[in-house]
Amino acid sequence: MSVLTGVWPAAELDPVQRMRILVAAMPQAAFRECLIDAPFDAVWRVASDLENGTAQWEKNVAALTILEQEDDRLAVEIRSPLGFRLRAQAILRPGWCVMQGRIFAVGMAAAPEGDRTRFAHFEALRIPGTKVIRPLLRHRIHHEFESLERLVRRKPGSGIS
Amino acid sequence: MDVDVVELIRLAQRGDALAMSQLLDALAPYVGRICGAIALENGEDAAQETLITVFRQLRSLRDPTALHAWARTIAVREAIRAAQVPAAAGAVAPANTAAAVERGDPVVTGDVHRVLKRLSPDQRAILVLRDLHGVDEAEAARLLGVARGTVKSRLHRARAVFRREWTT
Repeated sequence: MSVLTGVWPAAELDPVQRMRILVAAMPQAAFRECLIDAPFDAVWRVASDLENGTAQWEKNVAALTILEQEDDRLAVEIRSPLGFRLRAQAILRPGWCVMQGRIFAVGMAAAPEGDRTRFAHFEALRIPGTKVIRPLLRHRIHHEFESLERLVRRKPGSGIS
Repeated sequence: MDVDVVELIRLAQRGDALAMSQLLDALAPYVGRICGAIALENGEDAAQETLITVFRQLRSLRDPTALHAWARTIAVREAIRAAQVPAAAGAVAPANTAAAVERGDPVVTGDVHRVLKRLSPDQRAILVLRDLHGVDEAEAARLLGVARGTVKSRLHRARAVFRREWTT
């Protein structure tokens, strides 16, 4: 008979830790993390506002429309800066968003780190041979982080004085 | 294994990010229970390292039904390794949110974490494998890289320490 009873400890991973795992399976993905000097709620309020916020900091997106939503699953239409319209499916929940279209996948994750927020973002093209542009995408993500942080700071109730 | 999970693995192996996200939802709690119980304060590091290895090598998995056994092999190895590293400053004990182990009689509640700290990582690993996950002796020996006789004696000692500490 087992001597084991009671509730056992279990390790739980936050969304940023999970995103590091996800990109481990995506060698073509460009991935970066940053620390944003604002509380999690303020950061995620902006980052998760796909229709009103994404186009202001994500350089691939000129506009985003949610077509359908059921629980944490979304169908969206993205208009690119060049005018192309792309359909995508997404999973959106607190601290976690993964979005995928026929030729691309992107993701963002956030987790509190003290009074600040660790934010992670990946971008990948689902086209063979695109691993070579990963450095360019990583460079662009760096600037997207700066744009996101500026948006968070401008938002009333961001928790930043 | 659930047909849906097999399909998720197939899609994830083809680079489907949404399938990967769902697969992670399914696998993280399982790995977290193994790593939390063996590595304690270093359980998060062990779980993250385990899942990074699993996802990085996902395309090489030929039999999707072997996913959990494969992940368990890596998790045990990573958890024992992580348990031997001093916990980082600020590391916290894993949350006691795993499904309760309902086996055994009588059901006793208490601080499992405190008791587990009195065991060595190897002893915690054998308890987790044999008593928590029902792994047989031969498989436990293979996973831990020791003889079956060692598994038997180590389990005996681990149960004795667990029982003694539980009642003090």
